[in-house]
Amino acid sequence: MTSIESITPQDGYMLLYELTGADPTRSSAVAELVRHLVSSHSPWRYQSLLGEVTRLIKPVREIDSEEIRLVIEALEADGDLVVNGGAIHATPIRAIRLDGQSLRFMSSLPTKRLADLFPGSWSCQESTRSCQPADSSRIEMMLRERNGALLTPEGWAGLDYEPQADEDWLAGVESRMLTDAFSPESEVFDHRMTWQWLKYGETSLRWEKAPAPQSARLWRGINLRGYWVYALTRSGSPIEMEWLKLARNDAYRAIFALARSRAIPVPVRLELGGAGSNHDTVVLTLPPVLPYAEYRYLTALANSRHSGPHGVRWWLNRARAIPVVEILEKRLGVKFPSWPPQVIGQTGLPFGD
Amino acid sequence: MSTIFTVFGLLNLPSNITLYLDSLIDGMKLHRLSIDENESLAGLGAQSEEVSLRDDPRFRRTPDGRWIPATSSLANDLLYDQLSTSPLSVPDIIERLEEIEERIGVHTVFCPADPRFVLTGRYLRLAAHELSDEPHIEPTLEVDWQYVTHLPLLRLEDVAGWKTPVDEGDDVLEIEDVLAGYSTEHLNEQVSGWIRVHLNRPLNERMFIARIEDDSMLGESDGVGSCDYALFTYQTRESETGEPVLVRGINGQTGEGFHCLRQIRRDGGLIHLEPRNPDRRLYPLLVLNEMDGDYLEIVAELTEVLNRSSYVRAPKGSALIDDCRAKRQRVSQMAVKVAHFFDGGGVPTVESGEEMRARAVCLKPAVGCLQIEIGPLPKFPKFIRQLRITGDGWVRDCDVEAIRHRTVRVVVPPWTRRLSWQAVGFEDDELIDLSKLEVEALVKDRATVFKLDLEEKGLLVRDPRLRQSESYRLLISPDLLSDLSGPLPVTKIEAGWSIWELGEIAAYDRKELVERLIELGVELREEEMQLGFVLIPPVEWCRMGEDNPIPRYLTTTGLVLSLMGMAGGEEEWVLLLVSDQGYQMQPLPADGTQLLRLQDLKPGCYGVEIYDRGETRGAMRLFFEVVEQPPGYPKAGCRMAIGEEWYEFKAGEVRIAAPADLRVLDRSASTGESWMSPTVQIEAPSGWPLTVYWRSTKLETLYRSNADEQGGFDMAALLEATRHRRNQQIPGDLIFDLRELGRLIIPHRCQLDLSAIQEELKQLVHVHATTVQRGQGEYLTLIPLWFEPILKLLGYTIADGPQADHVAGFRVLRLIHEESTPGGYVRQVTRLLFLVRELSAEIDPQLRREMDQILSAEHLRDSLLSDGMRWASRRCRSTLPVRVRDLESTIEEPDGFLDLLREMGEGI
Repeated sequence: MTSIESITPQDGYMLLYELTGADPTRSSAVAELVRHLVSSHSPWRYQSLLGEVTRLIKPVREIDSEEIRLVIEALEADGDLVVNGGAIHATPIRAIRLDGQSLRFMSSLPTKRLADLFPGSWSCQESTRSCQPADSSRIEMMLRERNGALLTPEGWAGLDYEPQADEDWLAGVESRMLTDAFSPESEVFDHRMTWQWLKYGETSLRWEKAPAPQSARLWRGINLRGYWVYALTRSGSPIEMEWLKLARNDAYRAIFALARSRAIPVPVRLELGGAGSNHDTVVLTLPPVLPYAEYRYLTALANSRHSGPHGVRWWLNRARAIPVVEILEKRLGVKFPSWPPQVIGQTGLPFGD
Repeated sequence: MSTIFTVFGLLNLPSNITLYLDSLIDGMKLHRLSIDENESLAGLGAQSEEVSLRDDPRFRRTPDGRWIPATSSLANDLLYDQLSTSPLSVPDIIERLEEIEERIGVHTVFCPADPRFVLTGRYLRLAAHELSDEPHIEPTLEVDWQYVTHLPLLRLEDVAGWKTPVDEGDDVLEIEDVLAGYSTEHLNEQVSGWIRVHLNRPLNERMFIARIEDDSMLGESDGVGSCDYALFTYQTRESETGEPVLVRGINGQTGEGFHCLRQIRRDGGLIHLEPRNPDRRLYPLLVLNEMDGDYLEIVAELTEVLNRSSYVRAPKGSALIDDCRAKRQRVSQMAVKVAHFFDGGGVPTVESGEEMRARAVCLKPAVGCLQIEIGPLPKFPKFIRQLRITGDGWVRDCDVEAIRHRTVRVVVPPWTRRLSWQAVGFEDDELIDLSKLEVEALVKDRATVFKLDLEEKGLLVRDPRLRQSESYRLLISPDLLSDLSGPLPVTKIEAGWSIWELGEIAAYDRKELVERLIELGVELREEEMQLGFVLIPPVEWCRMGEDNPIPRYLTTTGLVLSLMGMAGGEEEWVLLLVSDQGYQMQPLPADGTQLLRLQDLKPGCYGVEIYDRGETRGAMRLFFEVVEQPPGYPKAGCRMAIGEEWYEFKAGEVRIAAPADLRVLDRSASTGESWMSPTVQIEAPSGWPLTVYWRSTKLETLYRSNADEQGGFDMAALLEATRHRRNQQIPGDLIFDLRELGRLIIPHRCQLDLSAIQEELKQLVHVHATTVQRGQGEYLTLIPLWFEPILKLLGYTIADGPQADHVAGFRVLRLIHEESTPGGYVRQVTRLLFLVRELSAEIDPQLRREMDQILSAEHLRDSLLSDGMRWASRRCRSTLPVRVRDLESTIEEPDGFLDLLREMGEGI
């Protein structure tokens, strides 16, 4: 006999907590709901997915579309989803072997289902999921049996096949303007969009509404279908100038390439952290707009990360920091402060902001 | 003539009539019943036709056409309520009216024309049609009437008294005790109520009434079925007349107790418990064997099936009524809906005409977004090859073969008259009826509404009232758009029509949206009741017909329903859950918003209906499935086929295929001769990104795309994007990058054989010889037309040479050769080409010196010389005459051609 029980919103809150393993007011719970939905049906149209998440969570809380959009962006960057324009696709199970026996998992499957498939000690931080498998020796076989793949950090990042954010790459993108550019203010998205331009601030990169200087080249606007559209112009607004539609990855790479070509400093920080006088941790603060390959490279090597108002702080073992800094400087053109870094001590601990 | 003053004015009536009416009203105030107008005015004789009680405000008409004093109170409704709650009472009407009058202080009357009542003498009762077919159940009854006029209503389960499994400690009714006349106190606790019966037999304490729970004993023409009431008599022996008996027993093998109503047939040591219903799937034959430890005990005999004259019936709408039959009807209707809904994904057939349909859809706003969708129709008559749709001055054809197998969409312009269909070649055949495929005309005076599904495909809906919870696309005619008071964010499509991509309604400011919608002739529904799935996401969506994606839930999670907008009324809401397992009903409180958690669901197809018992508001329904296992998920694997060879990508690794001449890939795309040419195919998870690079001395992105829903790619676009590189002789790597799922590198090695080079050279000479001879020195024209293709065949690409514009008498080009080495791709200038006006064996010394200077500056030793048709090679500082080869004649001589390649070619 089916049990039909009237429940209160508080019961609903607890139910959602149980289902997602997180406080429903936190983005990790929203991420889990998105994973549930994308695993249940793929592809989702962006707007439909926003609506479905809003509807599912409504008895417990009101949620803003922007919050869901940020969660989807994070899941995409972490490899749990593939976003192709207005379509959101599920992804297979991939795992990276990190230090020791720990594994980082990427998949659109909800965490509980992953944990059923791969027993072990699971931890979730923001949208990133890690597992200390109960039986590490069998993990490769288990992944194979479950149609998954085991990756090395290098295989995951794929830096060798992603271009550097430099003038050469920018010139290649600009050459596409000859054939692929949209005319000014063209309503390719069925409606006029409100564009924001990227401002290179001293402490952070910000998307700002008009008025923009004529030198502003990189823009973004929300499509009525619910997702960000990125645009590159030769100068000025897409309302007045012809513009090239960029994928998010290209737009993020263009942020660094433009800065490099104009010698604009991108706000980054390099600090020493860790408890006591040990200072065995290096904290890199980078804008939250890293291209996929560089982002993935960091996710594979960093011990943890935390999104703050001035960017994302990445905690790395001190031994790893120097090559990471070199690679980021070479690929993105950013300039970290010279070594040795400033000591931030305890405040550098995760969630210390 | 006298004047009567009334509150409404003056009536001028003859005095005798006035006096008559005065006495009539006085008389009515002394009586308790309404009067008939004709009868009451009959005393006026012929003058009665001049008078109407309607004209005299002292009289008031009852709803049933009789008359009472305007100041009196009509008690019919009050009496109806009283009798509805106690239908057994037969009150004296006069006494009851006097009681009411005393309570309210106003002269009270009754209208006997009210069809709800039957007035016999002074006694009033409800009319038969006001009574339901259900018995009137009195929750309590004085002991004096128990088993005298009334019998108890019991549930068969309680009478049988054994729960499942049987616990030894259970207080089980001993039938022998009942038969011995002991108290039935034990059962009295289980009595649902008492029913007054009219039976042709004396009542006793062995009797009880029970409602039948299923159709097991309903035969084809007789028997007793679900919701029937029956009289039972406790007894321990089998029925002498073969009537069904209530039995209880224990399965010897499982130890589980059971009870049922069955006919008993003994066959040796076997006991057959036979249902009358022939449906053995629902009601199987039970066979017990005492040798196996099975135990059976008879509890009661079904003595008589009660009909509605056998008991006092409950008034319709009574709160005490348990209208089993109405419930049963609702359950069966819902079961049909569930079956229909879940069968809806079945393949429509031409025989079942309702399913043969075409419909209008609106895709993402753009030219061509309006389409007619048809199929699959597997049984469409095979002799019809083509269908034709006719609209406003246009026709579109579609292939029936495709329609038979899948859904086909035909792009159409906006249409303002009904779209008709014809079978091409059978236009005059009246037996071919395609009227069911017709599509209604688009409306011009209001927006046409397309509701968006999960795939954001707009489905045409006729109802111009939008729901808050849905997403829409509105199609607007040119006239309507021009009449609007302000601009709308529309996309123009064909013929001046526009589309407003409204998206999700909930995202808009309601007031502003309503104003815009009114102009478009579309309404936004008021806050309405909503039923939806919340909190627990489905584990899968079953497509089953694209309009109705059905959520699937796991047995382990169950689901949560949200009900909104139920507050405010006097409705009694009921939840009905129907599945192939059975049904459940549960009353719901009329709260504004409710969350209902459904758990312990068994796998199957379900429909849930929320309805108001009084049916004052429409029912809401949802359908879902419950499954035990979650669905599969994408495989972390990709592969690529070239011809019949498959290359598996390995996650996180780079696989290098054997070198190949990748020009061969074009053959399949251009000729379509897949049966003889290599095919190219890539399989990846749905939506997965693919980047194709060309790598020689640098990495160049040629193609980017994402896999479609089936995991495939647009191979024609991929081949086109890579064609230029694949068709060059220069070696390079074509890299198929599927990110972390792996990369496949196919080295491109152009394998032009000598005869192919010779043929291409011959072709160039044949086509351009005249131009070359006439245009000597016209390098701007000749370089791309003549020199570049020839040098390509010789293994070079070209670049401008040093001081090209400043050297008199010749022009210099750098000849670049790229080759694959163990250390990677090497691109280097290997020679210079000096284009001269006229080439001869003896070269002017001044010219020779200038050539040598340039070669030295470039650190090169070898050069080629050409005036167009004649070619020679020369080494730096050589003073020997050069050997001039005329291309036209050389390519015809096998040895001469080979010498040419040896001397001038690179890497061939």
